[in-house]
Amino acid sequence: MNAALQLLRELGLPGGAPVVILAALAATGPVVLAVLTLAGFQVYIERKVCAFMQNRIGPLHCGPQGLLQFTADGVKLLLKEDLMPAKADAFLFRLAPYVVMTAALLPLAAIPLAAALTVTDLDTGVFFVMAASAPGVIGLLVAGWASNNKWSLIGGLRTAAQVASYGVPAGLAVLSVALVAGTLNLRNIVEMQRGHLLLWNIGNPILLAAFLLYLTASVAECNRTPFDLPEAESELAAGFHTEYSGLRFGFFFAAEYTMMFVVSAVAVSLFLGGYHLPFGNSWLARHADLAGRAVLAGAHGAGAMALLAGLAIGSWAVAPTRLGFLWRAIERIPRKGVLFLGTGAAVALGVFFIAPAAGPRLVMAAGNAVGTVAGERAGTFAATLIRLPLRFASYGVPAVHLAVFLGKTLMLLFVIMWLRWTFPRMRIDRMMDLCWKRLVPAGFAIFAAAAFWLVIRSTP
Amino acid sequence: MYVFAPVFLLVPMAVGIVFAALLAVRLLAPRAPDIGDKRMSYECGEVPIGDARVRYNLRFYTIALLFLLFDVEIAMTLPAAVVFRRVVAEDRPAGAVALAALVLFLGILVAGLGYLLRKGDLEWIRTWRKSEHNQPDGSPASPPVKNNP
Repeated sequence: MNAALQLLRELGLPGGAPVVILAALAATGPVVLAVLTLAGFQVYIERKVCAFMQNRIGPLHCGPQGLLQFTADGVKLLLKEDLMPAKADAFLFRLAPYVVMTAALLPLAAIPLAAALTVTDLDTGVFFVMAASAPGVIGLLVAGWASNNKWSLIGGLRTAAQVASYGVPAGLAVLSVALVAGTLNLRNIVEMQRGHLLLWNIGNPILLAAFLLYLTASVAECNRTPFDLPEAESELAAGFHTEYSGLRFGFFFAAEYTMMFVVSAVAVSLFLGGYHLPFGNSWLARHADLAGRAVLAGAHGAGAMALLAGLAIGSWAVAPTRLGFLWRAIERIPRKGVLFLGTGAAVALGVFFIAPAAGPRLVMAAGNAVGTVAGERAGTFAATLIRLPLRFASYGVPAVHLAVFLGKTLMLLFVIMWLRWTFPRMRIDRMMDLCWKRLVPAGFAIFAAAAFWLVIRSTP
Repeated sequence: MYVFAPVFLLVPMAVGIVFAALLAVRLLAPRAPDIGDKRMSYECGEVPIGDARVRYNLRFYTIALLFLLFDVEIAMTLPAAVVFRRVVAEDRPAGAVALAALVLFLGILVAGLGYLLRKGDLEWIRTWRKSEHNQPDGSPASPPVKNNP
């Protein structure tokens, strides 16, 4: 957010509300898009992991190794009929996906993806994440109730009871970290874990226990097996989303996977050292230059790919071949306009990334040309804009941070999937017993232990 | 200064994504909801009996109350937890007082949790209390007292 704001100032734009909104858009947009894509991709990963564990192959036919399965799923959901039961409460039935998606995307604002890459640096950090993700359960409850279906109602009530219950041990685990770190700001908590593996919070035995508590509780909060009683298909049809079809159902699915990502990302930030490498930071400091050059080369490569893709789409728009169901869907939209817009965007993106590689002299010349035509201010704006991709050279460290962070998060997501395909579903009374009689007392014990440890440590 | 701008932007963004996608569905997907029994509630293929506006189990209210209690407690402990480290680092007596205050606050809550556990309010499946169920002399449990005449 701050980097985007600074960039817009350098481009010579005046301050004020529109620029702040633009900067906020630049900060949130890519993260939201990336996380939603990742949510779709997680479905593919989950199916592959599940297939591996059950000695099967999994998705195979859409794209290489079935990699494009989630796009096929998305298109299918988009083209499915959107039904609502006659007896449903129409307003609430339509409202539920909005609530669920908002609650799933809002926590993304506070998660530190790299030292210099946080959507916004909130001092309330983890507390904001907990508060922002809490309304999700209201959405699920509303979905269950509005469907006017007995299974949905029971599913919604179970979700509410389960998420509410498991929020308490998760909150206690977060509280223990806040106690030890002395701050709620997620980026500060990550910075305190700078260094090798044993300096992460997980290297502290008390917080290791808190990590296990948080992981268990958050698996339950995401309604995942072994705690997926709200959608237990053997007893409740599909639980709260029984009556939802098409993309409206897809949103519950996307929200569930986004919540999984958020929960894993928070766990990584709180306990697993966030974006720090497991063997200290001296290596990264030494090779920051190399990383920067690699990122720049990657940006140029991506630009070239975008250029090629744009040209391909453009030529297909001029001379189309029929692609079955996809074609019939495209035929309904004002085809030519959308396609040419897409082509233009892709070509512009390609030129934008490749142009600075042509050399500083050309960039200067282009800037001067714009300057003579449209005035000096437009000229500096154009020159700064053209030179923008060269900044990627200084993004080496954030890129490594981002890769490390995503790697850790994906590993944790794998653990959650592993749990799903290993444990059978729990019985509801045992699940509630586990929460209130085991995890909540354990949470209090961990919190007290952390407080005593802090006092003993600081006593000379 | 503007730290909350992305937060306020994310809400319309999420709503916009859902709205745009559902608009696309409206344009692309087939719509024939009145063919057959498509609009009937799906209760495993049976014709639904009555409505789902039924009375549900009281224990969900208990869980809601418990959640409210303990979550508010977590929210109230957070500020204390954040300053605790600084206070402890300051000097020894201050740290001891802070620890005592924290332990007292937690102690009251844990005592409450223990009381609930003892009273059986954390049980999901409610049965007669064991003392009623199995009389010492082996006679069967006494029938429950009915409140309404």
